[in-house]
Amino acid sequence: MSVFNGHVGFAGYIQLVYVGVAALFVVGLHLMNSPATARRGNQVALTGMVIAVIATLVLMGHEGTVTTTGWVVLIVGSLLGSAVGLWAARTVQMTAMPQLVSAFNSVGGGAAALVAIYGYYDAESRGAVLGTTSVFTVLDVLIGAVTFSGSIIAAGKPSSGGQA
Amino acid sequence: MSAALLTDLTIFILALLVGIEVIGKVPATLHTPLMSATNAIHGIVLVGALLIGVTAHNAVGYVLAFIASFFAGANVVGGYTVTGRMLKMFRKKAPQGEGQPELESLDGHRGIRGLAERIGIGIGRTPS
Repeated sequence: MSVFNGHVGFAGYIQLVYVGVAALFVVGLHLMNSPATARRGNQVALTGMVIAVIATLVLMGHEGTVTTTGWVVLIVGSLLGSAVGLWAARTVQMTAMPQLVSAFNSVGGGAAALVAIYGYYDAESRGAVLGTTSVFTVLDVLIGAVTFSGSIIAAGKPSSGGQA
Repeated sequence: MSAALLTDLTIFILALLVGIEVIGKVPATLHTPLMSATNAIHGIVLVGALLIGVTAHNAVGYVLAFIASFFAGANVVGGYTVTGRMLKMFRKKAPQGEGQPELESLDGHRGIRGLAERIGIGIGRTPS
């Protein structure tokens, strides 16, 4: 939230887009109530995700504080991760899917923990650490790290042929 | 308690209720794809990872941004792809039986139950 330092303006419009995205996620999950509409539900949720990422890139461009190295790091990182995810999702055996979902869940939790760690690091370097910041950081990192390690263990467990 | 904290708390509580309401009605046969779909939605953390870039100006920031965006990218793309594959499998299975009309019928319950019988999973309690 550090980006939205009180002043709304442009970031406020992006925030509005995020609200719409949240609605798309809820609608998408709702469509998964029935096998007949479940695929559309997944597509609706995916649409929301694409919109969220585009809106974020627009916001980053508007802020204008992302360094060239920053852009390279983020773009290369996301694309590499996406490629690995796509490859794993396409090639995995149907029987090994639960383990793969667990592995995706794991890296998602890991990412959340890293974002929280950076949030604290950034706040500290600006001398803006509040009491609540510390509490939320600890909770966030703890939950993210537990998800990361727990899901890795879960990913290895039910497999009949060793994975992870 | 700051206004921002109060707002976040409000969103959190409402989101909990929305989650219970939306997820609670999903039939047992769809639980695995649902788990996968909600996991894919968790990939929204990619937005958080990207926003690291707004303030990252040193090695610590870049390394964290790289690993976080890598992880989140895998979560998003892999999550949606694997969910799509699961649901595709669901679809293919249905027409092999008595044909699609029952599944496609707008009456969700009959469709779900028919599908469940076809793939040999009894639904204990179908919400109605």
